Amino acid sequence: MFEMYIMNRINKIMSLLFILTKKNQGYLTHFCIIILCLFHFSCETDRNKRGYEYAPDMFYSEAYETYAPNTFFSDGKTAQPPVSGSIPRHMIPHQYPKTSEGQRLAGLELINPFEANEDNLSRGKVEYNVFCANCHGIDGRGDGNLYTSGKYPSEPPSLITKEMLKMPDGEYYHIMTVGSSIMGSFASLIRPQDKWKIILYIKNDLSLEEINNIQ
Amino acid sequence: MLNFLGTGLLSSFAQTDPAELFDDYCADCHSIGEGDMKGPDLLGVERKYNEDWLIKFIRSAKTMISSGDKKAVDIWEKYNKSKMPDTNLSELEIKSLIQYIGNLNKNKVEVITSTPSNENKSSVSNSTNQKIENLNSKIDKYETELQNFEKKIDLILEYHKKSFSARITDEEINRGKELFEGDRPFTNNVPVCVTCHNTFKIDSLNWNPSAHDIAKVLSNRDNMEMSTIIINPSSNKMKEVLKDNKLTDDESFYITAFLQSIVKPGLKEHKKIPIKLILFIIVCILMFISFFDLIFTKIVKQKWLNITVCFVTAVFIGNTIIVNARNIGLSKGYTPIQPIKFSHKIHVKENKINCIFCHNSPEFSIESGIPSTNVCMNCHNKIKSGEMTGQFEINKIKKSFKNKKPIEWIKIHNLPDHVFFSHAQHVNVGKIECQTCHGAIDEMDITSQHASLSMGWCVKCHRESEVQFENNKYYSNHKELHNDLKLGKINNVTADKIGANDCAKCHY
Repeated sequence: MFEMYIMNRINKIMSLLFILTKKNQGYLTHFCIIILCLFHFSCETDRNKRGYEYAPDMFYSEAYETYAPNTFFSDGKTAQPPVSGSIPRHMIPHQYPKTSEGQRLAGLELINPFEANEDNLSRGKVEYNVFCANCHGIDGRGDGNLYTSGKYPSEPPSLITKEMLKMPDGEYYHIMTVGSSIMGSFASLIRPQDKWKIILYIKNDLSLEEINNIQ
Repeated sequence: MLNFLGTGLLSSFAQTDPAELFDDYCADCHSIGEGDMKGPDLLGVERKYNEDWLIKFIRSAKTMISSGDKKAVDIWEKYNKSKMPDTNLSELEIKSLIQYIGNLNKNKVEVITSTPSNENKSSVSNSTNQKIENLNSKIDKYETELQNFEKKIDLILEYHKKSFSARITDEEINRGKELFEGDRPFTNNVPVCVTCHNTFKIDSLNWNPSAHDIAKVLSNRDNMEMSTIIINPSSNKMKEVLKDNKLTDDESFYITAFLQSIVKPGLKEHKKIPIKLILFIIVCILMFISFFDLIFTKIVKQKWLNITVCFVTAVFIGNTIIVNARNIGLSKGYTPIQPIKFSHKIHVKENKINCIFCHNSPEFSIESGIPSTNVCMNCHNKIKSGEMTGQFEINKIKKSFKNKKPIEWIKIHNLPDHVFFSHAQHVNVGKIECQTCHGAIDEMDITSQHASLSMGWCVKCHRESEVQFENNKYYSNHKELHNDLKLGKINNVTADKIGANDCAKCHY
């Protein structure tokens, strides 16, 4: 708004100056105009437009881009999900429903395929700090920034209590993929191998103190 | 046509949908008849406990448990000691919720309870039977009365709807415009709409929705509903504004008329004069005149004046041409209006959310990824109103999530189709921060393009950035470079020396 205001002011001054030049034919006013021109130079661009292009037919793809709208599909998206029922290579679909029964079954049947070595733990730490620490806190005590700053209304649980440590890896995995109560699904955000590594990090590094206390 | 208005009827229609309340507050942990989740199944809950107890418990389960209420403690221990979060629902809202759950239950519970009731029929004595019959007849009476009332109310509502949906005249639209823009004051000292909701297109950021935004959201309703919403707004900000001073029915109708009229044409634009072009032409003419005067006509006696004018104008013209020509094809500073007023500053700087949380694939993919709506909903299922925007912008995500329609963000950083660029290569291997190319995105309320993304910009960075060359198996076969390093001919190895600036690397 302020910009617009300044622009309007300048326009008025300019029009006044033009009248002056007609009357006096003085050259000093020309200089004033030139200085104003240079001042103007930085202001006037439309932020909503990309500007001109040399060869637009080389700039934009004829084929549909990943996120572009598409008229061929009924939902209008180019990025289509795989045909229902088909399973990509290396992917193991998660078949357990979002109930307490499903969580129990997942805990019994799913086994962590990774070992707790240095590489896996460091990767787990990186991913944990990105995806989990916002709510559960960097130390895992449920004191994440989103909750302590008062933006997120409900208290996230601590990850390093005795009950949580007893929980089998499969249940952690289940909760991360499907979600649990208010916590949403992270299936589309974290890759399966990273999920297992995060679990390793929570169970080994993060809760070292708690484990020592129990022993 | 408007003689029925002014009765204050519209303000009595404030309502909250219990189904929506259930989705917002309960559905995360409870289901109705689909088994236990984190909390118990709510099938038949209104029969197990009386209403007052339920209202208390829903308001604050924590205080109930800590005060030692036996029923509350039993539930708490049965479900893994997970406490139910407190809610700030009003008593009316909770009652409507319980009623809603009860109504849903009726359909499901009838199937279960119908069998045992038949078996017990014979054991019920005659006296109780009579009592039940009496009661039933009374209930029938009341029900018929109720139905009559409902019919009457429906008739009244229909009449109102008809008169509201009649064609809006130009006079009413004009009046609404005057009210909206503050040319005509409201009767009850209501603040003028235009102080927050702009009616013209503006360049700067206005966190509040513009008049057109509001009109678009409300346009799928009929005029009657629209004016009731304007009188009883659902958002907290508007409730605060209209707390003491209420709009009258007439005024709300005029404003709806105005809003309906701007749904299609959209916001007006301030007339923009192509000042740059006009100035350029004027300067050209000036240069021509002074040049012509200097050589042929010689009206101005002082030669130095003409020469300086010629010189300055030539510099100006040259400068404009060069700057504009260099910017063709580059869109540095491009800041389009996005469908949602999303602020990276609030999300990244204040809430400390990592870039990779939402744009989650730069480490292993060409694209860094635009988050789908379910990512937003991970937090915004509970965070329903923003600091600056209130509920208006967040409701857009909710709507998109419900209707399964993606939000159409506008792409800002766009490389031409004849250039290959991979995020994985730069982020995962090159260990480049997001901010080096995308600028101080954590300071931006409106996202804009920071770098020019020109080829010169790419090449320059390749020449300057070092590669981790030693102790790296991947580059072990660059024997000449290893030799040069050992002999001290070069101090470091930059990206262009190992082929980052080869043509075929990006153009193929």
